[in-house]
Amino acid sequence: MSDSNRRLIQIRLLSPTFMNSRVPTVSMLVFLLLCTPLSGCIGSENGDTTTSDDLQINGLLVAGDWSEVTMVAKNDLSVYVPYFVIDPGSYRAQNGTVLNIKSGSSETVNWLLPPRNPSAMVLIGDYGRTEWPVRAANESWQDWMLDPSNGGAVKVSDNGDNGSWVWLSAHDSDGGEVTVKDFDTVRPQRSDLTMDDGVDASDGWVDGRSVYEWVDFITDETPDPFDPADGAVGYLDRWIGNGNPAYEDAITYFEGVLTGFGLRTEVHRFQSGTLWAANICGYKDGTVFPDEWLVFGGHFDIAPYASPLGIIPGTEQSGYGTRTGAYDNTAGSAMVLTTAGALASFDARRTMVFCLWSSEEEGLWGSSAFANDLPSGVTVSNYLNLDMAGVNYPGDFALSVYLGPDGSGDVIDQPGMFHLAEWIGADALDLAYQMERGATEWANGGENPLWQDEYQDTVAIYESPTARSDHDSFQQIGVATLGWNGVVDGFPCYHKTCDKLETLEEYMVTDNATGVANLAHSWDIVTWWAVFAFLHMDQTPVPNEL
Amino acid sequence: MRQRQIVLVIVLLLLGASLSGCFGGKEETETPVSSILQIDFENPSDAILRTGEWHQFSLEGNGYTLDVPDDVLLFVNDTIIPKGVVTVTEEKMNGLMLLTPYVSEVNLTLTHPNGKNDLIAIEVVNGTPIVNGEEWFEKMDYITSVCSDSSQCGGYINRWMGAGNPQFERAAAYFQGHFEGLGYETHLMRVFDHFNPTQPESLNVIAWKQGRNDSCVQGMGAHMDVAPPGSLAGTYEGAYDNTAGTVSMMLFAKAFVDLEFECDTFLALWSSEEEGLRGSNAFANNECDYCLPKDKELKFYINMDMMGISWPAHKSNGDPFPYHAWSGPDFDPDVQDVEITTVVDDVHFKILKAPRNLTIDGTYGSGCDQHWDEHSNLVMDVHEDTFGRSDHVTFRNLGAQTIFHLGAYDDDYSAYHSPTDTLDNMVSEVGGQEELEKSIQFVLWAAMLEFIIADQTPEIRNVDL
Repeated sequence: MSDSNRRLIQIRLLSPTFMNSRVPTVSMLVFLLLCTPLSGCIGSENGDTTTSDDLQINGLLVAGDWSEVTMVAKNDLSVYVPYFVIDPGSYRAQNGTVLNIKSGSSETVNWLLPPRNPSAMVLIGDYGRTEWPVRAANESWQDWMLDPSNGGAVKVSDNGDNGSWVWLSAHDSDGGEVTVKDFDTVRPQRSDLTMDDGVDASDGWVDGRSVYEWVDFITDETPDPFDPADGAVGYLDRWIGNGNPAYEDAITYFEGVLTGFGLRTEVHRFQSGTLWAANICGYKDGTVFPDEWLVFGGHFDIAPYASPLGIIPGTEQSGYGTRTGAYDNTAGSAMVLTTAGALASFDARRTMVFCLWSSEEEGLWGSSAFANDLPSGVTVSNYLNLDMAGVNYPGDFALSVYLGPDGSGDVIDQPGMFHLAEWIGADALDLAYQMERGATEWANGGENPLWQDEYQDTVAIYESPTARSDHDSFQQIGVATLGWNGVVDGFPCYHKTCDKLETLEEYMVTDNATGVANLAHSWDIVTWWAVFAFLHMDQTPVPNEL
Repeated sequence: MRQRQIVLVIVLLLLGASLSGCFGGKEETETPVSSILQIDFENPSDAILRTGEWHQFSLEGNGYTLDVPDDVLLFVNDTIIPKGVVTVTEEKMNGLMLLTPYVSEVNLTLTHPNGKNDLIAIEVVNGTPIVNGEEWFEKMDYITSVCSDSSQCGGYINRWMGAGNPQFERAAAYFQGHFEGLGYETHLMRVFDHFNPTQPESLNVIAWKQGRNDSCVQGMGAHMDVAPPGSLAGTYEGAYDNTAGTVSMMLFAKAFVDLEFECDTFLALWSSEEEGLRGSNAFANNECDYCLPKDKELKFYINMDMMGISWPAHKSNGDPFPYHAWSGPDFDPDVQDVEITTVVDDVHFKILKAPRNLTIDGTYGSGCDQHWDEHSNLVMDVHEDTFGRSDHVTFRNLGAQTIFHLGAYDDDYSAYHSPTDTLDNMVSEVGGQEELEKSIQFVLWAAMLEFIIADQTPEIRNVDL
């Protein structure tokens, strides 16, 4: 069957929005009545006898956190679950599975439904089915249901972990006809926040509001005159390497945090150039491939003052240097911490390494020292970089999702990484429209304007021709990398005294949301993108295809 | 007429008999235990319990009651059930069981709504206790070690007094980070008053956990400063006094993360204890957002100071080290004054099954406690007492019921406030690392369980009320 012949039977559960109005409710009932004979006809025509009512899903449909549901079959059927699930045999996360369930039987599924997409779905087919259609990487499942012509197919394959449930791999077919059961999901929220605080990005496995609160704490300038390190409650003045008491103070604090998460934590001190420096890394050993490291990183040093100009009140946008470095790069440090806190209790195949790099502003000394001094027998399978992300979509600036290494500017050299970035962004984060706009803007002007100008609803995924952050250290040793940033050179407080949280909030205000709410969502998007990238890369590393 | 009536009665009786036989013959079926009780999602006969670890249980069916032995702790809604008995009232109950590390057998009693009892024996194997001596030792080693490779040790030594000492500052930042990483709202509290050499500054690390009831507060703490070198004495590692208590607090904080407490709870690392309890006093008597609230009832406080060298560890002469756990206030030495004393006693002797009456030939070397003359040779020195000398005094003075855990001291530990108060010395004193881990693990469990049970003991109230 060709793509154009594939037909779908879609039965949506009534959402609260629909239920609030009688007219849409009536329309929906009429639609359902019309659909009923139609679906029966399509099903019998192609031999697939399942309907969405054949599968009952019991349990809360939680977005953005691991949760358990029970799938009960009323007839013999197969279910394609296109989300991360925990295999009950290996207890490890895998990207989807197919369950064959006999009539009257059930399967308990621990899954991670999309955190930023209010809808989710499973595909249903005849019992024992092995081939399934699948959405395109740059579209959501909802887009695919409306027009499946861009999609592809997957086929069940053996579990690569000696687990119980099948894995899925790309297949050269159209996947065949399926029944879709889609449903609305609900993401948990904290009870002490409002929309203006970013409440709808405040809970789940990870969340952007937590990143906001880390940044708020670390950059807290409330005077503490008896703090000999920086004279403030937060951990400010993190300039260059050790020898600076404030930098040392921050090192021990972050060491404590990573230890508190339950990670094996190490402080690496090294010498590069003429100044000492130190990285802080938290490790959780992989259960299958402990010598393959999957590294998350963000630098925790901030730009030092090169001149007193900028400290004087009224000149905060002058000079060079910052005490707080909220955007560059307390934000990235906070996302590393948030991710580490969530994943510390997660059992991964590969060793997870969460690093706060030193001396990025002096030439990537920290990450470079780390990448070039790996223990014998250890390789880095992939690297994820978090540096200057936050002042971007849903604010009026572009979010750049950069990957590499980049070879030629005209060709995508890392199609695997590109596909993965799109796959995550389009459905789990519901950014297909923004990604489409980003692709256009990238084609029009490349990276430079994306880092400087204002854009609306723009998320650009591209191979970056530049490498101005710690991902370069890993690309230099042949590792495929993925990273995120917002506006860079267009941020007037870049490496300036005014690089403060309040400035970020001002820059992120939009017509429909506060700066705080937009920041929480911005960091929510990036942190989730990194977490999903990790889950994929843990199951199947993305090779450097250059 | 009468004959007819008799016949009618007989017929009715016969019919009734057959009917009753019909109903009566349908024997009451008994629900199997496996349909009522599940442990770790297994039938009880298949379940294996690991000592010192958490286990899930579910109990299904209104009126069923589960009763566990003293050394198995029951938790429902993340809160302990002190009596160890739960009854299902809403169709199903889910909860947790926590075995002490010293459990050798577990027999559960399941009581049916009709009063019938099932005694259920569950297999027990050695586990990894949720707080354990091995983890404590690893952290002690990391904190007290100084090495050229910074990835291998922390070197958080020389923690003399409080704010202003760079070594104390960096240690405080490390401990603050640790509590933050565990998810506690954590503050550094600096007090720098008077610029008076006799009133040195203090720097506390205060971690807060919100309770269900916002009208009361309780806490646990240990001083993180070590005795500064002076003309007479002083230490660098301060392994026993009181890095040991400091690390204990790190482990308690981890164990308490997923529990819910009745009262707001502070977990504190005090500074400047060695200078006169200045850190805890600053917390208790100052006004700040994260200081001890003055508008809430302070119920109890548990203090950890000088830990690890005590029973079950033994001296080189073969005698067990003394073990001290003193509750208070002790207004009248002849009667029990406070309810927390019952908790201390139950934890040590009913739950952890310590040898209450173990004695040595001769006497121990210390004689500071109020009841010394009554039991100078008693190993498990667990009772109400007026003993001071540490931060529990700060809270006892405010009416809190207190427990002070203290290992061997004065004449029973020669390295007190000495440069030789090192982790190596502790290992040497008790005859090996494994002995030290066993010794600290006992007192860790005692203090942890005291806190968890005291939280759910409403009779424990501030004595000044």
